[in-house]
Amino acid sequence: MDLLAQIDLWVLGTGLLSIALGLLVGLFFGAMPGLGLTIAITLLLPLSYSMSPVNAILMLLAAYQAAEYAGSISAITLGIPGTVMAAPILQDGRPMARNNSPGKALGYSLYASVFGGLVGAAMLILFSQPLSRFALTLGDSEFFLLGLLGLVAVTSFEAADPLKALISIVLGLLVGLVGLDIISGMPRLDFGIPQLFDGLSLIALVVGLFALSEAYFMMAGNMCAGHRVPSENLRITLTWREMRDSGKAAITGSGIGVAVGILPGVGSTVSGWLAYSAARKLSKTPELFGKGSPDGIVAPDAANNATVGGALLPFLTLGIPGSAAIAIISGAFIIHGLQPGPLLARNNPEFLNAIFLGFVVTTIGMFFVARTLNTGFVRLLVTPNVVLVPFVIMLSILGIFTFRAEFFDLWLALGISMLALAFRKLDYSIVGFVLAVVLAPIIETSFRRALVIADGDYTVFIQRPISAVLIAGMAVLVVYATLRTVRRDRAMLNKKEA
Amino acid sequence: MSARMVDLIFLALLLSAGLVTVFVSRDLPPGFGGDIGPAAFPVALGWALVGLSGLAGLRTLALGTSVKAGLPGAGKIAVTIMAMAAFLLLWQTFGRFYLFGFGLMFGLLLFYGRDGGLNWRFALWSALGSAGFMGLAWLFFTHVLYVRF
Repeated sequence: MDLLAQIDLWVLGTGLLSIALGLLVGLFFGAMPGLGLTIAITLLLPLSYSMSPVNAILMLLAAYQAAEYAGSISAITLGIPGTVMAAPILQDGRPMARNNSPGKALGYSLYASVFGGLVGAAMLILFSQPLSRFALTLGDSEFFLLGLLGLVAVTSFEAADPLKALISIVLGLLVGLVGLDIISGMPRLDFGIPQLFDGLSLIALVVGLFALSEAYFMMAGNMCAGHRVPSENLRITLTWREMRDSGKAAITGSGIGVAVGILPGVGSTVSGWLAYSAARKLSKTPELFGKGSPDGIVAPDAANNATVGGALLPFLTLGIPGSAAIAIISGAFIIHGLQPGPLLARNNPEFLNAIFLGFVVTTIGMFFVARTLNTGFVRLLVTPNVVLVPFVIMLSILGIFTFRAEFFDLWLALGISMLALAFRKLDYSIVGFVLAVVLAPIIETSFRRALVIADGDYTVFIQRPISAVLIAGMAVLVVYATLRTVRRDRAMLNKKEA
Repeated sequence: MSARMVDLIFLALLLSAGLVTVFVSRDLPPGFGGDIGPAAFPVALGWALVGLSGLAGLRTLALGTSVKAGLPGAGKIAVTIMAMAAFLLLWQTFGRFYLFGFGLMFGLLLFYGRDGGLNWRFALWSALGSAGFMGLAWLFFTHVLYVRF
């Protein structure tokens, strides 16, 4: 009875409503080809100002989870992945939808996503305390190296062109330094503009980078053309036996998803493909892959959703965002005055426990919401870009202004959206840029504080064993990125000569 | 314009941004007691931007192709950016967010709707849709979030 008496019905009700809202928005934006999860989170971020911290974070995480799954809806029914992460699901999801039934393929996708999400949540709950305790033993030099490792990982894995990714990161670090210097209190790179004293608004930045620039890309071709979606066999029907038969692929995908999610800078784009090829190698029927194999849907989908829990782990315990989506969610932490990192578990244990519990509820809730509204979401795919683009533009404007009622932020977002257009067109890395903006204060402050403590002795960065491990990891990634660049340039040279 | 030229122009802009960063950070005070000071990071990153942009420029000169640069929907993008700028200017000058917001949404719907051939029915639905959206936004932002535009 005591436990029941402690449950605040209002808190519980608003928490569930926030999760439901996040799930619906995530499912819608994730399913729509071109929109995707970063836009879902970006456009929900302004709404989080008026919420309690727990509800705000849960809503954003629900959108993240749901959008990771929903990318498969359009991949299976239209043959167009709603998100980049859903591309591996296309390989077998589409053939199964054609040869068997779309509902069956959607069923495999949903069950695998929920399984992966729950594994990610379990890992998050199990390892966050030990990792937080370990993080408390780290010094400023290690935090500097961890931040740097995240950026090096983006350059190595995420980007099409490592040299341009490096330029994006340097530019992002510079943008992240705009405003008052925390240590000396001196304003930097503000050009005398008062609105820049506190730095650039993260909301304006991410809305310009993701939402507005995506709206520009949706203007290509005939904007009135809607997609043709299948109208039959959309109901999810999956037997217990079918689920059990794909258990191995689900476990493989989830394991890969969590492991890849923990690595900073490596998102579900990588984990989905890794899980797909691993499941193919482990399968007793590899010849069925590409022709509608259930394991080909289950493994990448489980990996995509397990990545969410994995990516949250370094963010909540070390304060290092592992993906662009987490970097945007870090904006909600800043808005609510929360500092992700090792002290979060010590200073706000109730908050962290509520997030863990809510994360599990979110994943289970996703199952019921998606199963119930699946057919409706498939039908929504007919919405043409002529309707979506003005809707995204107006939501972006409303969201930016809601944050701090500054016209400057709106102009900034407009300018940033043009920069993002150039970035995307010319193969620069938007993910690297955003992560660098968020990590810039961590990297600079840790570096300078470490030097102050060591009285200017630079060997502080290589003295401890963990520093050596981090430096070795970075060295491996730098060699990998250099080899990729050389190989890419050689291929371009050969192409040019041919 | 060729893709190589576009790439070079953008790299020149980045290189200039690096130089500007170094220039505006030169007057920041030096650090003391082991601290490298507030200028060290911006200056180092500014020079890094100059160096990397220069390197990428040299690579583009060596490897870039003379294929024509293209941006699908460039006309629509340009009009949209101008429409948004005009909307912001009008709103900033005269207020009346919901009125101008309706104008922006309705105008964009009509403009994009040309792709499918405009007709009265589409125009009517666009007007109703824009008015409905702005009405909902007014209700939600004014009475739920207490944000006045």
